[in-house]
Amino acid sequence: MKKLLTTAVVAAGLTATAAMADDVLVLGKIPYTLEHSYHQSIVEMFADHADKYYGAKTIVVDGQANSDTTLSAVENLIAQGVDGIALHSPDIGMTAAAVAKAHAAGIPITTTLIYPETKNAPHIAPQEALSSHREGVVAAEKWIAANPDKPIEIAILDFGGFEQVVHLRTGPFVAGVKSIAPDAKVVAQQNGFGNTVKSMEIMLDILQANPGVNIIFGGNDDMALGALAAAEQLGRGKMDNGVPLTEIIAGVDGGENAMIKIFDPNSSFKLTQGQVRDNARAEVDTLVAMARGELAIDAWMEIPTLSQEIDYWNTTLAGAQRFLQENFKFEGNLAELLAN
Amino acid sequence: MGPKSNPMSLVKNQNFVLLLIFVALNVYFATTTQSYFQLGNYFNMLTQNAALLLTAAAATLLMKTGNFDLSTTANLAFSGVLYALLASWGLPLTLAAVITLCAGICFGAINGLLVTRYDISPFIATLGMMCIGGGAALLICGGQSVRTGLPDNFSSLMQTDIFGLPTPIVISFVGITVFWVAANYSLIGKYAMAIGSNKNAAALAGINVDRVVMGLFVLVAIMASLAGIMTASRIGSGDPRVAEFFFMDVIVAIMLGGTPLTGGRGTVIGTVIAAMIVIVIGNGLNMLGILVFWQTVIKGVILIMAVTINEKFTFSRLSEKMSAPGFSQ
Repeated sequence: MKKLLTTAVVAAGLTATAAMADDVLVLGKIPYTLEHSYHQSIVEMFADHADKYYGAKTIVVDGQANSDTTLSAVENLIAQGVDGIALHSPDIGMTAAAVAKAHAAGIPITTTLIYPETKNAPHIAPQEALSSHREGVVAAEKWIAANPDKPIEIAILDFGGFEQVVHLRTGPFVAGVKSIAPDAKVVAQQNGFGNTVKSMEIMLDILQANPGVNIIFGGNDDMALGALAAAEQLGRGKMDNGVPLTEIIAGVDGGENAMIKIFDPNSSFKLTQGQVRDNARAEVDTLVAMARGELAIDAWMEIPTLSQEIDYWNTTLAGAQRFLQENFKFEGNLAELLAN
Repeated sequence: MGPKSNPMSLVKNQNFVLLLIFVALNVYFATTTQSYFQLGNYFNMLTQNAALLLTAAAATLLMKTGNFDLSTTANLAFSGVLYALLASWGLPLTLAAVITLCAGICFGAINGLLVTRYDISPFIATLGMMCIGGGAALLICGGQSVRTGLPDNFSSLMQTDIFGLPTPIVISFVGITVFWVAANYSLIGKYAMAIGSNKNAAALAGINVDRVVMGLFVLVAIMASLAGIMTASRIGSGDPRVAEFFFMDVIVAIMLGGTPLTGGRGTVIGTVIAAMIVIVIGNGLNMLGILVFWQTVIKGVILIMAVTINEKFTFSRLSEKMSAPGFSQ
């Protein structure tokens, strides 16, 4: 995947550089970090959509999950005179500075997930809160149905204090659980650093200290997979043909690795959510509309995109296969992968 | 033709070689990308890296003594958050900056104390401070960036001009000049060199080694703290997660510039040119659309090359000395 992405990004960059000389529309895309498959996919979808529907070229500059680097990326794209910038910033404060710089240069800019407090640019808003809540509801219902005598204890792996993660993911998830089980308690919440190995180490400690934990939420799928690995190492992580035995694990993103676990009837990782394609398309469409003067560049506008909830009990395998194909350019066969 | 005007002696001068590489890179990126060779882009590069240039220039003096500071990243993050917090509480920015710099000095004082008084290796001492400072930065802001209640002029330090030049560029230029003068024309530069060459001999010669090392740790801490203030001003908030690899960039610049970890030699100019090489590579590769994964690899390769070149220069100088007439062991 990374090799493919490397080639794609380099090719996109080189053609974009060449395109600057022509009248071709050139868009800049700054992902949160290219270290995660979700962001790799959104970059690919963005470049594809820009090229296919508008003949536009894309320059990708990695934000590396860092405010300073992301702001530098914005400045560099401005220096290159791109026609629009799609920004996934790691920080609200920095987003405002980035938007101000782009506007000062007369360049349209969109934000996604992390919006600026100034609210003066279109914002692509995946409706994650709804799906996070839904994940919490389903997890609580399934746990109580299988284990009515075991009160719910929740453990959360987050990104360490990002308030919009609380607003969009962890907060609504817990609210969803509590809407079914009001006495459910969050017994542990730690920074999983968005990383599988770190999350595994941390979850081992959490489960050691809190063996009663039975619902785990990872702020992304990498963290949920780390939690699953920890549970499995402790002899947990199991279900009996979809019936919860030890715990239920939920995540966010919906990539291939997560899907394989979610649709394994004996694994306790059972829920996720996500979307890539619609977010990328909304970013491109909005930027092009602003570049063509059809939209004001400094008007606040929230453009919602659906973040589809996916779980073992309510989503069909065919639906999950389609989701992967549409959002992650998945070329395999999920059923075959599960059979192996 | 004296030895100094001999073209071959220029080729053997590491700073000249670095300058040639810098020029060659500029020519390459200017011819391969359309937007590289523009004043605005150079202003961008220098503004984005003013904090790095400033800190690396100061840290060169410290590294010449054979010491280094890994806690600059944590100091930068902590100082940026503290500065934003104080500003959000309504303190005048100048007062907030002074308090922040005083807090930043603590990093250097503790590092210096651990290294000089308790004889702890700089690696362990500053690594410990890196962890403490990084954690403290997150603690004082609860893990969330400080961005509400900031005054309107919070970002003015990094977004204003002085005589047409962006202020951060002026700050870094002034800082580099001061450290260059200190390294070449002041006792502190000579003392640093002497300590790095032979600590015991320096002490026997009457140099207060501990005081010099302590002073240089504090100097680097002040610059890292100033870097934090500059970064907070630039991004418009106090973010505890910024510049995670700042210390790495500082060390790469210093080593590539010809100062070995063991100290004893090195120049501020070498560090600055080396930093500019790294900066230009990052900017140029971005403009070429090269994935950041490759940029990280290239940075690693540069570091290894730097060490190798340093070793080669040391070896060739040693060989020259040994083959010189009158050399005896």
